[in-house]
Amino acid sequence: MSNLDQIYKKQILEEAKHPFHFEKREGSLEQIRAYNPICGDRFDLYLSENDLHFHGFGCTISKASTSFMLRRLEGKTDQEKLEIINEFLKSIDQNLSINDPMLKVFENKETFRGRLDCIILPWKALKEKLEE
Amino acid sequence: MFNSSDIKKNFPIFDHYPDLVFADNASTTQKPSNVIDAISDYYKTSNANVHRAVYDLGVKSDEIYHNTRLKLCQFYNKEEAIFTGGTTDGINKLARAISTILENDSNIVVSEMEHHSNLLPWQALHNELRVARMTDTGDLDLAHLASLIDDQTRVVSLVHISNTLGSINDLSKVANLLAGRNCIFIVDAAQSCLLHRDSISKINADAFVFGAHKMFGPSGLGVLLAKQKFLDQLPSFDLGGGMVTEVEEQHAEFRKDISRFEAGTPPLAQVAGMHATLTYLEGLDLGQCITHTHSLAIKLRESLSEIGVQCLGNPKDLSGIVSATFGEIHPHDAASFLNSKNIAVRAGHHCTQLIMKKYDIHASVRFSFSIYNDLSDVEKIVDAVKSMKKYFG
Repeated sequence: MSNLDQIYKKQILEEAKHPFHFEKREGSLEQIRAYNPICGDRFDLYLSENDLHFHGFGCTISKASTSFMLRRLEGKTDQEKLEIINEFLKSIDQNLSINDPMLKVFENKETFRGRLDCIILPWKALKEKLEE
Repeated sequence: MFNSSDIKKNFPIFDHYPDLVFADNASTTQKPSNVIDAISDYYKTSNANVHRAVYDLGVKSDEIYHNTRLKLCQFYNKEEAIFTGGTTDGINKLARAISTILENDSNIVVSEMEHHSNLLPWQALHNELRVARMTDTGDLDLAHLASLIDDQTRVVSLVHISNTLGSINDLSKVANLLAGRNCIFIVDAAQSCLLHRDSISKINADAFVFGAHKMFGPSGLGVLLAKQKFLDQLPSFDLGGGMVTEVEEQHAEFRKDISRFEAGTPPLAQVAGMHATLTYLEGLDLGQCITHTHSLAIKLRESLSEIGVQCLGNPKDLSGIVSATFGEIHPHDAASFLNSKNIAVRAGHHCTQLIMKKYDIHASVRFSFSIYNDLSDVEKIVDAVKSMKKYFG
């Protein structure tokens, strides 16, 4: 598999093409923005009691990552969400193996050189909110 | 006869990466052998601090430093050259110094084409900031600019060549507009310092700022070219060694010459590299170089247009820079794909968010050519874009 195909794995391309809960939900309890000023990626995350939605502009990697995050966190308590987020960010930061079968597509830091910020963008934004 | 293949041989990076299409020259340029050697040789044969040394090595280092300053003034036909840390550093230093001589009701004029480094330092001042529009083609709107200038306008600071659109602004017209006014005219020459020496030499501005790394020179060094009369109005940028005549416990007397603008030990090896940079440029026909990079940009625009790719703007006078968007394909995905084909480009807002807002986009892919690029690079880019559309389609 070429390096390009390692970045743009089939699951990532498919997830970005058909993102989970990709719609504006202006009436949500909370709304936070995941924004990368370097590249202009900008997703709004809509947090409700029972579900999460998102909408905005971003690359394939950040869009897929946000979509996967929402799938993984739906139905979880804030504490559970924070634990999952911290574990994922630690895995990315320290280049650890990822056990979660869905998030495993982001394993191996070397593959995503220059694109790590795209992966962690929504995770960091939600972490900041949950830690407030 | 201009031959980019011969020129490419002067740049050792291409010995290491013979298949590299380096199209990110608006960010930084590659370095020719003589510049790399000059920096290395400086450390091997001339390294000593400048100013006040009486031993031979110190005098030798001092001569290199002094001669580079003179060479810069001669090269661009300007009165004074001050070494800074780069374009951003130069503009920040100017803005802070100028703020001390502005009245509260003075206004400052920039344009929406500015790199953030020529916008944020002026925003940070407490004076009214007026922003001249650009046209849909990506050219400076001179009529709108003229309408913003009044008797309270004390500073006009404009980009010479847009780092995002590649448009070359006719700043001689702006200089004419400002003639006779009590107004400081500053030119951000970051993208023009490399090839547009003639144009810079003819523009009647108070100051020009640029960084050496964008003109085949070393990183960490910038240049501020200025009129002596303009500098006479300004306080020192920073305070420290090498700029005083007398120091007492509570005050100091400063030298009158430009050493008062260069506090502390300057970037000595970089200055030696800058000397070699100018020597290299003196060996080129810069007119032919401008024509060459322009023709590559035009060819790319035409070829991309033929395959349905939208380029930003359509400047009347274009340098070697072209920015484009690819519909549903995000600029960072495009840049990653192009990287897989050994094509180095930049994706993002290029520190020009006002331009992004003008075109209602978040980011673009920027292709910026230099004299070591050729038509085969353009063809490789266009082929890669075709493949990319299929890949992400």
